[in-house]
This record gives sequence, C-alpha cells and structure tokens, in this order.
Amino acid sequence: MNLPGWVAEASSFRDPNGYVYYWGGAPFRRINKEHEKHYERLLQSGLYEQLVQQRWLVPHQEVEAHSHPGDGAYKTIAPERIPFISYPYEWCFSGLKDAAMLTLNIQKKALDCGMTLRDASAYNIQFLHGRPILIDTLSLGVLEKDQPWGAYRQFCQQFLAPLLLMSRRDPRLNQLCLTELDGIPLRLARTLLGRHAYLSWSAFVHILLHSRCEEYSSVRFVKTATRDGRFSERAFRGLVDSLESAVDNLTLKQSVSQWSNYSTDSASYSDVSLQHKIQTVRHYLERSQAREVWDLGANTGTFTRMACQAGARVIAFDQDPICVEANYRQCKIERLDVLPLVLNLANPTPAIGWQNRERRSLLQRAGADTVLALALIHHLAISHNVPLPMLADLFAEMGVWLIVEFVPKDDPKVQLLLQNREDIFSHYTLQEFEGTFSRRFTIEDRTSIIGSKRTLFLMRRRSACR
Amino acid sequence: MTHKHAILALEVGALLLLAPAHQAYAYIDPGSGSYLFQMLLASLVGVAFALKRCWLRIKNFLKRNSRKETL
Repeated sequence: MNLPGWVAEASSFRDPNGYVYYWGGAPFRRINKEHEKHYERLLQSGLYEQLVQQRWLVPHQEVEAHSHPGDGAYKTIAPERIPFISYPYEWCFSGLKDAAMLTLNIQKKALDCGMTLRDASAYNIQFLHGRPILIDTLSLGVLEKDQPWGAYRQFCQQFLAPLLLMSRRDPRLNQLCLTELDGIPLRLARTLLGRHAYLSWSAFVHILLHSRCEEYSSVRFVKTATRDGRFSERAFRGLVDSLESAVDNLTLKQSVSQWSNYSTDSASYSDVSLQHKIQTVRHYLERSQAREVWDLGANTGTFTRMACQAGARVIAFDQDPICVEANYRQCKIERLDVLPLVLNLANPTPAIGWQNRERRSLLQRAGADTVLALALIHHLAISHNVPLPMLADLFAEMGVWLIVEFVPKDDPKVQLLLQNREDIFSHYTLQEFEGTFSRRFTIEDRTSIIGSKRTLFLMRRRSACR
Repeated sequence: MTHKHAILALEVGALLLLAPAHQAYAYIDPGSGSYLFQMLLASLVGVAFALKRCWLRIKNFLKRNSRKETL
C-alpha cells in the first residue's frame, strides 16, 4: 500500500473482499482471495456478460496487480472510469428511482444465475452517459441457500425510505442522507411519513412493520429464526417483486415550483434577445471546445441541452429539485449525456463520512472545462450578499473557461431583488465586475445582448489561479 | 409454515402491536431485526408472488386469445 503512484480511494475500506485504488489517475479494483468463488461465479454464470451488455454493470478488464504480491490478492481489475461521482443526496426523485429500479433489476438477474447483491448501497450506483450503472463489481456474490436478503434493510434505508419521503412529503428529503450516511433510519422515516406510513401498503410493510421488528427483535427471536428459518427462492423473488412494485408506483406529486416555469413565464428576454443570447453562448461553447461543462443554475436545462448537443458532457446544477427533476426527465427522453443534480451554490455539498473523506465535497470533485453561469450572478451577489471577488474565486476553482452573464442593477430582475431592501451593493457594476474577474480570468470576448442591458463574457482562467 | 414459525409469528406480532415504543434492544444489530422480519414476511411475499405470476399468465393467455379472435 506504499507504492509510489498508488492512491487509495477513501470510501473503499468497509469490504474485506477488496478495495479500489488509483494508479496514474485511473481506477483499479483489487479482489482478495476471499472473493474468488464469487468473482468466478459472476464470470462463469454469464451474469457479468449479461449485465455489461445491458450497461447495468460497469465493464472491466483484468490487469496485472500493482500491489505487493502475496498479500491476499486474487486479481486486479480495471473498471471503466466514471467521469464524475455524484451522491444520492444530490439526485432528483427520478434519478434515485431509476437507481433503485436498476438495483432491483440486477438483483432479479442475479437470482437467475444463483447470485445475489450483497450490498444495495445507493453509492454503488453512478450515472454514466445519462443512465444509472452499478460500479461495485464485488457487491455480487453467490446466493446462499435459504438465506434472506442481507441487503434488504440497506435497500429500504437508502432507496425506499427517501423515495417515499420525497413522494409523499417533500422532494428535498433525500438530503437527509447527508446526515444519515447509511440511509434514512427506518424509524425516522416512519415518524416523518406519519399517516402515510399506514396509508400505503409498501410503506406499512417495508418501513413501519420493518422498523418495529428492528426495535423489538430480541436475542431469542433472532436465534430461533436463524436456527429454524428457511427463506425460499420464491420468497426471495417475492420480496424483490414487492419492492419493485413499491418503487415503481411512486411518483412525485409536486411538479411545479417557484422556478420551474421561470424560463417560460418570466419575460427576462424578448425573442430577439433570447435568440442573440443562444447564438452567443453556442459560439462561446465552440470556442472553449468544452468536453465537460458545468451548468450552474441550469433551471430546466435549456442551455444544458444546448451544450450537450454541442458535444459536451454536462453536469447541470440547480437548487430547485423540481427544476432538476424536469431537466432529468427531458434529458432521459432525449438520451443526452447530462447529469442534473440538486445543489445550492451558496452552501455546496460538503465532504462527509469517515474522517470527512468518504464522500467528497463538490469542490473536491471540480474540474470542468467550461463553467456556464447564465442569469446567475445577480442571485448570488444580491440575494446572498456574496462579494464579486468571491464569485470569481468560486468559478476559477470549478473550471478553466467561464461563460458568464452580467445582469446589471437596472435590469428589471435585479430591481425586483432590490425591492423592499436597502441597496448596499455600490460595487455591483459592470466596470467593477470586469475589473474583479480580470484578476482571476483573462476576458477573451464580451457581447452585449441585443435589446437587453445584460452582457455575456467568455473568460479563461489565468494559469496560476486554480 | 411450521408450528414453531407460527408461534414465533404470534409472539412478534403481539410485540409489534402491543409493546411500548421505546422497548428496543440496543445491543442487537438492527440487521438482525430485518433478518427476522424477512422470515416472517417470507410466506406472505412468496404466496403473493406466486399469485401474481398466475394472474399474469391468465392475462397473457386471454390477451392472446382475444388477439386471435380479432385477427
């Protein structure tokens, strides 16, 4: 573990069967001898091939080991690299639902091959080319006869409970997973669901009764069940089927929010201005030759999809879960390589877990070619009182190129923000904006949007400013 | 379901319904409760699954017949 160039993945320490590390920036997964029979079954049963063909499991190649010989290693595999790791507390409802359905579909396929998912962690699912995919090859193990599903509780805590809460209570409630690393405790889910825990069959069984059983199980009961219990394959399939129906039937009740109709309702632009803005952004995207774009304050994704159609892989952030949901659904229909995530830029995702290293913060994952910040600056500078130099710092930390729109104080939208509050923003001027951002970026181009007071800029980060 | 299972189910059922809310056994891994719960749920979900499959087969059969008639 002390070889030069070898970097351990901070979240990969719980499974004794192997771990992930990086070598020259590329990910590798070490498989220990304990996992040999499971890995061989995965390959020989044809399950690996089926899952990879469906793009349900990340493909890998067996490679020469980088670690010391004779330390319990069985094999080393090089899985396909996932360009951006996202977390369940950043996903929208449909993203989490698709990840849950994928987990259950993989479990069904695994059962056909005499295997099972030993983990049902939502963190084992990532998004690649706009679709969820299982990244933990070692989570598939040989099915032990007559044993119940070891990952049932984990599935309920990490998928079913947050989905039920998002569906029945509030679409932001998956963010509880930020403080509850193992998923939402069933008892907490039961309390928050209130009457809904009784009104829905799946919530009643998989959350309410399940949590009560956890609370009241005593040594005697557990021992009796372990000794005499037999969990048939039919029961196993029944359990998975019951969870599948539960997840499949969930929908997001809320479909409109303060921001979801923003682009259509609020006339920030005339048709001519909007067309000019679209043309300019498209031109800037081409100039920056972006392969990975971060669209900040993406709303329902008009410019996200434009960047994607220009050939970039886009991560689209917005703080409104309903907007992110709409963007996710549309991109799914159009099969675009876009990952819409919920994010409040004024309070971005923190690092959490063991030693604060297990799940990384947003900025630790930053590395876009181009950052899009359209119709955003005024919200951060005025609504959140963030000084312009700090905005420049943030964007410089996120990416190399910046396409940013300056919305001046006399713009009707800024006037709305300033209504009923004291104007303490004497520095919020175009001149000050250019001066401040010039310290971090070189201004490559600027365009005043026709028929509007707004200005679009194409900037490039100064090389020493990361 | 064996005799032993029936007694176990009754005991747990009574506990679930009657026990006060804070009577938890802190040193038992909650996963054990989940394990026990699946054992209790086994017959129910197993039978429901079998019935669902039967129903789907009947539905498919009827669909096929009605399609043949319309053809």
